[in-house]
Amino acid sequence: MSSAQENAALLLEAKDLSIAYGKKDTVAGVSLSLAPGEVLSLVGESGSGKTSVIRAILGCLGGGGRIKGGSVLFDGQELSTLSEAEGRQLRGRDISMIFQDTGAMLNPVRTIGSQFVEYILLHTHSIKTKEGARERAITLLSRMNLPDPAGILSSYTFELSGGMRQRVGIAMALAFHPKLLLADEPTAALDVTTQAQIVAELLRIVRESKTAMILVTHNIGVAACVSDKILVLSGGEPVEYGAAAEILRAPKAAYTKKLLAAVPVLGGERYV
Amino acid sequence: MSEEKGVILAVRDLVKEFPMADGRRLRAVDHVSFEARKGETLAIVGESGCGKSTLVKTIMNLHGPTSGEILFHGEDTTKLTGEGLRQHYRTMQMVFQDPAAAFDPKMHVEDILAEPLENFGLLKAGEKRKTVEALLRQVELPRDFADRYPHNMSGGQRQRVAIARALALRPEIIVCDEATSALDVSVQDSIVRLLVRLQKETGVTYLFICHDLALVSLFAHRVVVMYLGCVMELLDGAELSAARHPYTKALLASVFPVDAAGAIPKTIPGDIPSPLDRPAGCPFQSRCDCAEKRCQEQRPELREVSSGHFVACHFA
Repeated sequence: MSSAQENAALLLEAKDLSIAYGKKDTVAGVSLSLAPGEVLSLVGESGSGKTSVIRAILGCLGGGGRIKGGSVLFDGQELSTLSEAEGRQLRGRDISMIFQDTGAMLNPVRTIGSQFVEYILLHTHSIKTKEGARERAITLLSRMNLPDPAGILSSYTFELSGGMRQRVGIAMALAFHPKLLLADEPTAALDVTTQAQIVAELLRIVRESKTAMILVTHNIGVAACVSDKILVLSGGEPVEYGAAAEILRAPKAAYTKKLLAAVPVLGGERYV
Repeated sequence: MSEEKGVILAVRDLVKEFPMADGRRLRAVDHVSFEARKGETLAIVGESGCGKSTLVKTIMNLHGPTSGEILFHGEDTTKLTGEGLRQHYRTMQMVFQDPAAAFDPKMHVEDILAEPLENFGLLKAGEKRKTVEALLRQVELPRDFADRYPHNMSGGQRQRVAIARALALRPEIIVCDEATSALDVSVQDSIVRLLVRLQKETGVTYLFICHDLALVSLFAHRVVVMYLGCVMELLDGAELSAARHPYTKALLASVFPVDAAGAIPKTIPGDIPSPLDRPAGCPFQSRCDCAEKRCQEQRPELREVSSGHFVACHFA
């Protein structure tokens, strides 16, 4: 395949992306690319700029953050040239995001159903009535293996367990078959058994609907199990980028080696 | 009797219930018994809501038990009051998950580390700085950290200060409640190595609360696995692969391998039931593959299946 053809097939391409908060540069020189349906993990320690990168792609850097340089091409469009209205069209439909705790994303004094229905009506013209949107929400929740979807729609976020809330968040993010899903530490707040359930379900749905995903995680094990590609970040700079299998088998950068060596493994060498 | 095999802490048939507004009682710890020996790391493992934090708070005497005994060197600490209790706190110290929340943000590290000693009148005049610097050296921090504020440090450095504060009174037991779970893996690794080194030097006993079995498999001498307030299994940290309880096996299976060929772990479905709605019989029956009629009727007792290995399962 020639490089022109390869580029045409790419869903997302970031080149030399740098991000600054105020006068402080936090991310520099990040380049990455993603084909439709591919899964890329951003790994690194806290403060390495993982979240800033995906927030920049979504165009919602908080706290005075801005893209300082570089380009982000999504589906052939340069994201920085989009108007506010065009950006809104893209976000939530073609690009959507899930967060560490869906309970914090949703309004605690409104039912999940009212927010889910509102979200569906805002983003699509094909469903016009509340009843229609409700039905759609129920279908989406059942796809996430949630028991009693109607009951969940009439619940408040605090009435659900962390795992159930996270399934709701994923169902909402995948409501319109986005081309790109950005997942920011989606399992970091969950118990280990729930984490394994959610990762399996997330990956199943992403594969089924051929959605590309960028997963931000500090759990190297999770990244290893789901990724096609891995980008290792440290202090806002890319350390290593490539096929997941390659990086895990033979890491080149000293930092990656150190990171991989620090992951506790069952049956590893004991310290006592 | 309880001094046998160097046992310094014995928990006997401990129950802790909390009254609810509607008159029901939430049983967070349900007839838990175990012993901790001098110089060992006893890991207490389980998912959120399994009662591990309530258990250690009861052991720390931060609240009284509903019933049961906590014997420290053979003496029931739940009966202590007043000055006796205050002096007892010297022997047990705690390290919390979020060291940023554990310190007064307006205190210098020097004052943070000296405070426990001053509380017990253990600091000689003019020796504050020297003592603080010695404590910092123990946790591998430079001397000038004494002049810093908590917000001027990274998470790992703060956790080192928290460990230094816990060490200040030379306690016999340090309780670490998820002490490394907020840290990055490489920092977590260095903190665990530090804890192991300090244990070898001082002979302190750790009660290490954690939900990561892979982590505790690296340094725990013994592991207590809890579910819904009950002890499910108690075994050697080096023998985790020989676990026989279905819940322990599920926890082990939930660990993601760091391996590109690694399949996503197959784990148990569902969530932990509400402690207000406890099933009769085995607490784990609703998520267990091998549950039978007997599991619904009869709660399995914790019994010894091989030397030092206890399991509460009808089938183990």
